[in-house]
Amino acid sequence: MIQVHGLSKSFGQSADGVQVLRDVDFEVRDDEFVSILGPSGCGKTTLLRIIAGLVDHDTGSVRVEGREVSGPGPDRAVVFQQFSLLPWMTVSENIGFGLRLRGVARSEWSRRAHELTQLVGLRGFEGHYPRQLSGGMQQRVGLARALAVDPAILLMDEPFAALDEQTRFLMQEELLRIWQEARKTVVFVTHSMEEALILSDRILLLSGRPGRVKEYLDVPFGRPRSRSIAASAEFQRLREHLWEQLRQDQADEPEAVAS
Amino acid sequence: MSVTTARSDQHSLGRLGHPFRKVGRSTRGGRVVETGSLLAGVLIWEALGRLLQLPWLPPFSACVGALIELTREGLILPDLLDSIVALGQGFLGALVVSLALAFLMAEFELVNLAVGPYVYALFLLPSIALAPVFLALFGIDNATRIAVIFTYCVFYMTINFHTAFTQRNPDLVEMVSSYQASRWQRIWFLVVPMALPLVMATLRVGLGRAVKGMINGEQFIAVYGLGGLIQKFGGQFAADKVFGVILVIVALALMLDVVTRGLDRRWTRWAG
Repeated sequence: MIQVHGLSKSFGQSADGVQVLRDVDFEVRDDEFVSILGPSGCGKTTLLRIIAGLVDHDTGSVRVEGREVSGPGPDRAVVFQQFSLLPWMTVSENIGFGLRLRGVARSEWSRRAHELTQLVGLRGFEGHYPRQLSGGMQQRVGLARALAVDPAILLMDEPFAALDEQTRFLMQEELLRIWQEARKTVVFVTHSMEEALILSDRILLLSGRPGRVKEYLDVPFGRPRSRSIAASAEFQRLREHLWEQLRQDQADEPEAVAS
Repeated sequence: MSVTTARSDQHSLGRLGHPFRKVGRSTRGGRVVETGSLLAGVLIWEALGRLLQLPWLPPFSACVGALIELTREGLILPDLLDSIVALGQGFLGALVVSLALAFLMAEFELVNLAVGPYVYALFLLPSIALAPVFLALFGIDNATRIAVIFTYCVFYMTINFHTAFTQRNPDLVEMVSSYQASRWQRIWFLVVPMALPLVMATLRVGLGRAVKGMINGEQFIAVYGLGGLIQKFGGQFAADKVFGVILVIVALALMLDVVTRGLDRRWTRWAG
């Protein structure tokens, strides 16, 4: 379980610093899929990085399984927007990277990497280097690398934002399938309302900068789920509702009005 | 789905890629161009030598003839081996020192601040200017030659290795720390492989500088190795013999380049 209470974060010196998050409160239950949605610059990614332990917060508390987060830990793994694969390592070595750092024997990490290449649909590509793969395939490696260390919590930072639309749709379906097979607690940052609705159990809607919790929305669709729910009237209604909320924030932002 | 996507991506990249990419060094076309260029150089040299009849520019064939003659007389091989041994000692010493120094400068800011100015100052100083100091220190001795080779490449390589070790990719640094990598794991899995392409390029140029240092050092002392032979034949105005020895030096430099290029290709295959 993830518990975030009274979390605030500013960047820069206090006088002319920028506050990106203010008094954020929410919880994520075990095995729950939660998306963080909000306008650009509302601190979505910062919030995720704070949970990952990659960035310190100013005030408030972030607890994972009851323990205060003070840095990265084996209970959490991050899937990055820019894939962040090591270009000198093969697919298999990239997937086994986290395990190698933990001192797992070669035979063991390589067996695990082999299993995961199957799970993410990359069989036959174990010996390829990242530059030989398409964006979608690279992100599959990123996902497999995170799954390899078997974390309780998967933190995904706009993982499909750098992909073209068709690949993004396919990856969303793949993620639904993989999540169904290997249940994890997932915190998923996205700027896409559709993506959040298709994937999540709940959506944490943040306001414009400084980000505050505007709404914590239950997504009523059952599991297992596919992208076909996007055609339903309920989906359209929720999408409209999210858009209304986001539009209010965009209208409050002077830059957004100007653009 | 992505299997075909990736393959077609690669195909289209190949078609739309840089027009000269197809004539890379490893391709057959590349080798033809390289060999053709060398042959053309030799032919032009031969033609100019024969046409101009200048005492300082004997034709290529005359230089090769002189080289064969010198080899038969047993004058080339011992000096060549002698030069190679000194080159190995000077260059390997410089390699170890520059790698260690650059690494310490990259990892410890204090070392960088304390040692950096000396490294840059000595890099800017023409290395041959130190030869008289070494001569005074070691006398007409092999150590003087090795010291000249060492100084010709050590500062250059330290500066480049330092640049290589301080390259940063914030995304990868963050990824590695998200998996709780220790300092040494970060160095081994991130810093070293990222530095490798520049380290290899530096090795190639550094080796070239070491060969230059070897010849200059030998000329300065005028007793040892191939540089010593050049001084000797230069004094006799035997241009064909001087060029004969130069051909050996060029062949040695090219061979060393082929070896380092091979290592470079092997170790940085991932870079494509």
